[in-house]
Amino acid sequence: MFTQTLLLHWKVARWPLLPFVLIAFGLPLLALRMAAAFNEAVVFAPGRALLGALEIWTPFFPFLAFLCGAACALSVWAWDHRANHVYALTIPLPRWQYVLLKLGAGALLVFLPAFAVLAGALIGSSGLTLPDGLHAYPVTFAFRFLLAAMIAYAAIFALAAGTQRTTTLVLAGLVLFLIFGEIGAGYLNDALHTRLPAPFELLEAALLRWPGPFNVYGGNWMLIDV
Amino acid sequence: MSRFACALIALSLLVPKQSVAQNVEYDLAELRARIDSLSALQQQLRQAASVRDSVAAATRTEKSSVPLDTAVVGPFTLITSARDREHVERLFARAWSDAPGTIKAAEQRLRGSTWVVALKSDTGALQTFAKQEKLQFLPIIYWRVDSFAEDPVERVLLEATVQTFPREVRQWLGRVSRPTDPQKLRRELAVAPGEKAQRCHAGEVEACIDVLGLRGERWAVWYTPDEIREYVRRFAPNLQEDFEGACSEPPDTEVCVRFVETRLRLAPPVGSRIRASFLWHVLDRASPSDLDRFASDTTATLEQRMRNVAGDLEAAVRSWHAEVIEAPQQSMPATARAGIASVIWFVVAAGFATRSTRWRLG
Amino acid sequence: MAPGLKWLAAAACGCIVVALLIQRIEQRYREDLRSEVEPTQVRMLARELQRLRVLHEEVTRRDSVRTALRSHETAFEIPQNLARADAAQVNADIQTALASIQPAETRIGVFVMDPRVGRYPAVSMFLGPSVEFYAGQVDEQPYCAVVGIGAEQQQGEIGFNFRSNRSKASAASVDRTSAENVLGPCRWWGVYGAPGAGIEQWLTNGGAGFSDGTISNSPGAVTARRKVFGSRISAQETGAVQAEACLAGRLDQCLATINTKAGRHLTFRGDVALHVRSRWPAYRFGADERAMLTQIEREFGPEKFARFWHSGDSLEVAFASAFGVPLDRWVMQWARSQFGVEPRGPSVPAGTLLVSLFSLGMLVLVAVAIAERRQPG
Repeated sequence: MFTQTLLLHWKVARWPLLPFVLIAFGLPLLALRMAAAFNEAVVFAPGRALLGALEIWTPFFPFLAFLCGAACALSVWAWDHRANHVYALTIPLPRWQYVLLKLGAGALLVFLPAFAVLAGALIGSSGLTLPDGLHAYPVTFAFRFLLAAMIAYAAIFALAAGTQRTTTLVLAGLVLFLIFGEIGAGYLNDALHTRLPAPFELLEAALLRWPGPFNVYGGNWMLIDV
Repeated sequence: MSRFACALIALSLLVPKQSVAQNVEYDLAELRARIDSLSALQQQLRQAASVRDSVAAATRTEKSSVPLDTAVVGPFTLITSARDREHVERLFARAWSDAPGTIKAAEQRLRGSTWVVALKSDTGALQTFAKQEKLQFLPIIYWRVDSFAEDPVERVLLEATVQTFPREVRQWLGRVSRPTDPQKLRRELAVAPGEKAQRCHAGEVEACIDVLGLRGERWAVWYTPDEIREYVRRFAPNLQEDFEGACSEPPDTEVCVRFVETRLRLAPPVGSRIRASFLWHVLDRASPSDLDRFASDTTATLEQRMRNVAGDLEAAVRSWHAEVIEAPQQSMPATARAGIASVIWFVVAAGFATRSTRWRLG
Repeated sequence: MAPGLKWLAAAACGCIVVALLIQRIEQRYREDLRSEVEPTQVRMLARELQRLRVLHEEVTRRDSVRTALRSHETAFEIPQNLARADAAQVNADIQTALASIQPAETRIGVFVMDPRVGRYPAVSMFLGPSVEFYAGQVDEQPYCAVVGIGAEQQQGEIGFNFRSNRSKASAASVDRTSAENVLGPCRWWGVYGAPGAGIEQWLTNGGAGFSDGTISNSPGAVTARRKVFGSRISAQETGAVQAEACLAGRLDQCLATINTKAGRHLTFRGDVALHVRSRWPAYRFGADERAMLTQIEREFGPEKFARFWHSGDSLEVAFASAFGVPLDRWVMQWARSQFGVEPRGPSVPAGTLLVSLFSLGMLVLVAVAIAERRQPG
């Protein structure tokens, strides 16, 4: 059953996933080559220049990981949504088993962009002469990417498993909390001279810092580091 | 060599023999000779590098040179790429025909003005050509934000016209502009510093003539001694002592004048925008012969020149004040416009929503 | 399988196209960089010229210092054109500093000089007020000199102050400069005498930067070294990359860091060219690294420190034999306590991995629960 589920998902997702795979291959390669070019042009403190040039690219990778995970998760439920989930009832399988099969099938596809990141990072760092004290970490970088994509995949998978109504409620609630929370916190801070944390700060602390569920996103995304 | 401080503690203890590096002696004369020779070499290398760069630039220009063509529009000779000639000619012809009379009256004086005009991608080659031939260069790049605020061709006409004015007028004018927004002018005069500027805003003609700088850049006319004292107190507190020392006498003594001119450098109460607005107000009402006389008269003072072209300077100031400063707002307030636009778009969006296929049966 | 192969072929072709595109972008970027940077020859020549001019100034100052140290003067004067606002403070600071090391083990000289001394050619290339520290021998006796270089001010005056909060012309990059810190590394000469060969070698090769300070009474809290996604806090960007590697746990980099010079250093050879304290210093770990030697003295005591100081062995051997602790490990522990811990690359810490797996599990349960409740339609 798993093989069939996987083949079905592959049929749906392979071409939409291709651009993500190409971007996942190209982005680390581009970042490394641009940073290397900048580093070679600099005479004073080349190590520091290389790190600075690479730092510009760091936000793109967690964002890309999120997109890859989301793409895989949304494509998993595409056909079910179209047919109103009737198919799930006709097969002689408990619902939870069905969900786990789909989850596993989609999770395997998340490995594709992760392998692409690994390939891009390996190729990009292979021809690089690194200044003293710096090392390239293509494998650990790709692993972090994989983990981040998996988390995003699982979160969007859970959201997509529900109805559109549920997703709308969840997302709208989040947006309203952020908007009104920002306004309210700002107003209270001005009126009462306090230092209440704004919703964005709370979200960042809860999600990105340890032990938040998205802690892997907030960590170190430097492909080349000490 | 200046004297230096030196504090010694006499050696009192026997220190075990440590391995201290041997002192290396340097010959200062030799060092200086080496510095001199390397400086000369650096100069030569820099010259060689700049020659190499200009040769490379010329080679690039030759390789990418574009065929040029010339067009004549009004008094202007325009040099541009052959491909863009028609478009450039059309732009200038339209701008010239829409130009105000004041600018058209300068046609004789502008005759012979040559511009190299570049559209879009030929900018590099044409700019190099203009530099080589020592011509004025105008890039017209419409995707740049400032192009939407002001048409570059119209700006050329304005600048070329102002270039024909006497130097004293150009120095008095400062930045070339032709302000069209009376609200900005009203605002600038309303908040201009100094009692004299406030009296001009209220409508006093003599005060306006002073504040516009028509009688010269005289800060003693613009600001009272107390205003200058307050300025020093707020913006140059470190000069307060010196100021009181120089200007405790009435402010037109030589010492005080020199102090304020060299140390304080007070700016006029109103800037070049207000001055330009008055200048064009006067010139737009002058006859072509008056304009010619205004541009060609190099001996008269600025005030005299203005009187000659305006006829009655005081009346010109009064009419400028009435038109620019006192005129009520003509346009609808921005909030009303935004409100109407919002309602219109709301209706459009609602219309689309009612036509959605979601609501259709079958 | 054919569709799978088709996809693989498309992906492979796509990757090759992407790689070629990136190569072109890189080439164009390199060309742009090349045109922005002056040719290497000219740059190298400019650097050599700068070095010679600085050398000329430093040697002129050093020669006058040695001449003065021969004459055994006991009184001292501050330059007549030192700004009145600074003179009293400088005077008091020097006296307090010298009194703190009485009786001194070697000759200690403290000088304040006009920046025009030794300038050639006469055009200004003033690098900012600074303090030079160096040691050597005069008449076969060791000495250590502190040479403060002032800044030209109006009406022919020069400004100079050891304390940063007193004068714009201060050379003190330390906000909390106290009178003791006037002597900088020369304090060790004063208290313990000239160092052994290995220690002297280390001080010349960058160690002096770790011997130029006293421990502050209120040490600041160690703050996080990285922001989100691993980007560095701007204050950290002036440090050495090797120092970061040491904080990340690479012991070999800890030794490399304390043997590297940072910032402006003296150009002349010979003597024991220690250190230049300038208004824009460059640190390896951070500003508090200057108190490393003071920390060692405080932790292990003056007796052991004296044994370390006078040892003729290399720095590592001297440290281990005097204190019984490997140098690299001590440096790493000390640096981490002062400056924090660096992550080693993008590796996922165990805590993050556990939290992520836990989150994955919870999300799976949520997905199953949601799907179970779903009805068709």
